[in-house]
Amino acid sequence: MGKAILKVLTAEEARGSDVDPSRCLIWRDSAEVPRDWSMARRWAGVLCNDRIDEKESAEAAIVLDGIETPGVIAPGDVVRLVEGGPLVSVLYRRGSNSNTLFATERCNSFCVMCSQPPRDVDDRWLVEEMIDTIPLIDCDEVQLGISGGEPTLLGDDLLVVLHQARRHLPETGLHILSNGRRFADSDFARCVWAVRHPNVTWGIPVYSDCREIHDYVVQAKGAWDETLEGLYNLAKFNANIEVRVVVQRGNVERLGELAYFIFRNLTFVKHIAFMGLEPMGFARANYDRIWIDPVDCGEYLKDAAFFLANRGMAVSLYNFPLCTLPGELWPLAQKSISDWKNTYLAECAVCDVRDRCCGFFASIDERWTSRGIRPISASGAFGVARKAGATDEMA
Amino acid sequence: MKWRKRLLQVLRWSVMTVGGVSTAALGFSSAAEQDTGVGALRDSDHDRVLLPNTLNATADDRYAQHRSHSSHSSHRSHRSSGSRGGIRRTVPAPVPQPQESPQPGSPAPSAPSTVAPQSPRGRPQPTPQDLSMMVVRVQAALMRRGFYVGDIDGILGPVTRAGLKAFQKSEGLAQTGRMDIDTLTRLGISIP
Repeated sequence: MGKAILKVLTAEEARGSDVDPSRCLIWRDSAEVPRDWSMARRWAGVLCNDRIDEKESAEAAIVLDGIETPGVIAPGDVVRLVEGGPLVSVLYRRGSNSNTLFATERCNSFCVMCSQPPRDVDDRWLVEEMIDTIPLIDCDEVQLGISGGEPTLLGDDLLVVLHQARRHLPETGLHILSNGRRFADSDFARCVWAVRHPNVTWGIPVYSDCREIHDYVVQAKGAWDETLEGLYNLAKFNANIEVRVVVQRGNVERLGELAYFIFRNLTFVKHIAFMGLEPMGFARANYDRIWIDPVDCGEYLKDAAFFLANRGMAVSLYNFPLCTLPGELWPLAQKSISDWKNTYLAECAVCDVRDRCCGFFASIDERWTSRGIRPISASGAFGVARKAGATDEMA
Repeated sequence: MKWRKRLLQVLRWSVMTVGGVSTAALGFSSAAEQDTGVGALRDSDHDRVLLPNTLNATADDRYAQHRSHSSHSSHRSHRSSGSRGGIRRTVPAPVPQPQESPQPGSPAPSAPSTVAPQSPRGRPQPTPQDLSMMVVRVQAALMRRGFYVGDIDGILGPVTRAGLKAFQKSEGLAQTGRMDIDTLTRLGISIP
């Protein structure tokens, strides 16, 4: 079945762009034909929310009109069309804060809180898709994610993807989520380095300083050892590494020890992110094993985060609404939730710090909601600042 | 018999590439089976041994004709690669068709790297992007085996060629410095 990966552009932008015309799907605001309209440029086709007159669209190889959900696709997006199919998939969205390429559904770990449970399928077509999509992404895109499953399971296909990104998007940083285990193979780490992509960050989870706890969380014996070996191999080649720690019942009590472990043994790490749970996938089935109310994590988070930050390591908190955190940690909290799965609760309407707060995952429900959720008033915010040692002049 | 020597050479590969095919499944018996325990199919059109389950058994030498070239500048107006949707244009080849299976030692005619002529088997020649990606795989495979220490940049330059030749020498292959089927197969790379 025919498949096409195309760039949606207005005619004006398409004329001025160096995107291959045969990969351009021209965006039309309305069914009315523009004055300088011509398909002679061999564009791939036309896309319009309204219905287009058939006679006039006859020259176009592909016509997408009468879109049922206007607003989903816009100029700048990269879309996948399947011949004869009714769906258009958006692979890249101009203006999104979280564009991510999907590498594979396979994974060699089975984390108890995994939000994207793995499937053992032959999905090498995803590699072709990444290779075809990358040249169509805006070259001024600041950051592009690569995720899965486990991207390193691509083996040398990952090198091809990195090379393609380096070639077509030299200014775009790549942020690749991986468990790092395949980098225990030093040769693979060397090959990745040898592609010389100028700006790659590896986001790699380490859940505990304790082998047994980490292996339990990822449900794979030996994973902790492999991940650490992988981290050292990456460090050997000066890779940018971000350690990610999903905070949950099994590892929260040793967060301080983990921070000490990272400081002493992983000094090359560029950034550490402590992350709240996402209630999707395996997490939902393992609620009893993993759930801990964020307000009960505050002291552990303070211990770990300040231990590292006070020693010059960059620390962030992801997925923790501000009202669930002690005020001292607010400067470290980031707006971390991808726009397409981000939501706020009714209480947030009157919250003064809503704009700085990451809010919630759209998949949240009653049992995944902290008992500490409450709107913060401006005076409340100042109240917290006072507690942290502000002077009277600030009142 | 020439093909038997070739078979023994080829069997130095990992067992996976030879597969566990029984001679009964192959439908014939030969003297070679007692020696090697594996049957082999003789392709009468070419002096080449095709094994069941062999990597690249049905591929043609599309990547071997590629000559070294200067680096392609990073640009977006290239043809889309492969056969993934979109509109493909085939351009008549201005050069003679390449040999089906180049004999070791004799130079294969070069195909310009910007057109997509049809090869005799009907498959289009690789685009510059396809070639570049294949070179990335070759460089990685050579690096793993200690035959290449440069950047993995998708460029088939003198250092990569030297690595290819050194690998070919160690495997008892003709040192062509080209990405021919045998070399790619020994490197564990499948031709798409």
